[in-house]
Amino acid sequence: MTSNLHTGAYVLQVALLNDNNYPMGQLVTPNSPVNGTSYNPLVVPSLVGFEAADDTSEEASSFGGQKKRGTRDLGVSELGDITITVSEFDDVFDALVLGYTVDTATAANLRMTSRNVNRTRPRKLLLGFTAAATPVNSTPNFATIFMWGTLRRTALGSNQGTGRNPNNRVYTLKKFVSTRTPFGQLFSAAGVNPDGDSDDEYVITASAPMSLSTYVDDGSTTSLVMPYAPDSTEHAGATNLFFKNGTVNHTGVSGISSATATITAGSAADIWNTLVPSSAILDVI
Amino acid sequence: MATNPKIGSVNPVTGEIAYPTETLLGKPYAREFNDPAPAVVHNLPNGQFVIGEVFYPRDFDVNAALAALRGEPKVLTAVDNSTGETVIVPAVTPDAAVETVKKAK
Repeated sequence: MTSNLHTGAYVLQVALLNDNNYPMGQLVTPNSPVNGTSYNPLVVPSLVGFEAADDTSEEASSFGGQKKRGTRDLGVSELGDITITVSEFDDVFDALVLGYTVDTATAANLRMTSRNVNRTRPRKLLLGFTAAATPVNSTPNFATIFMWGTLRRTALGSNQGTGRNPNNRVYTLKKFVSTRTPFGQLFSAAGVNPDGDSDDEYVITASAPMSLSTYVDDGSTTSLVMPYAPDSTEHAGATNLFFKNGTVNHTGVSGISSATATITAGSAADIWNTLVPSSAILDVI
Repeated sequence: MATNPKIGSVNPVTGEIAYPTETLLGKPYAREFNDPAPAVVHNLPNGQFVIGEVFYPRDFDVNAALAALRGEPKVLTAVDNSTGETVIVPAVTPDAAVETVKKAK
């Protein structure tokens, strides 16, 4: 089905990007991973909405001889901000995207946070937002929409509101274009083939939300554990995506059992990106 | 089956995951069904793994800690011929193995 109704706000995944635009899960030093390690994105459980504003586009037109003549679309000059709304203050999400540390070391029974409002190098993020995608025959599919950018939020406050979601927290995503897809492949090699070999949005429609993870090879281990078990054990490239260093690598996977993939070990520091439809991610609360 | 509470394991047949009860730093760890997946998972050989941390203390050597865990002795079992029962065989540490070789000489 090519036409789907997008509704709801099911899952938000957040991963930090390294300098080569590979997603590196929640690793706050994304350029310095430990070999033999899986880095998983944060799943934000209190998601309310993920809404886009219009882009700013430029155009020029000709009016001559008192007649309307040609008009030219001169491109997008500003990407519209995305407004992300969550129903609760989640300090792990807040710290991850704003670049501070939740301090539980100073006092073990307290959780201390700040806002890092003076940060000069905002963290580069990959966000994956999943909505329901319903075609004409009502098959309960999902669309996972990936975007790249940095986040800001308004200062905290509270009120006497009651009822559903009386004190939502609002974050603003300042988008940028990426040279890589969410699974690490360069857009210049990607099947979607966008102009300029980069883009600000990547949508995957599937039977379940697409669960993202990153594994940094140690050159010897022959298995990797994904954060959520894929719905299918298929590993030939029809459903579950396995890329290594940005190149398709389904031949490097010989089996999937629950959340574990049996792999052919690569070289130390190779970056595996997996993207699999997983209903298990919907169970996170 | 691993004995160290920091080491989890994956059943090679079913893929079922047995989570450890401590992280690499020794913090208590318990994952309920609805909990999100751990942020950092360090793989060990033979389908074993350790739950890592997003923030390690500045002076903590992750690679050294993982190397130490890779050398962890495993629980071995054998059948006691005198009783027919399956018993746990004490693991031989590298130092004990060296001593055994010295004595044999």
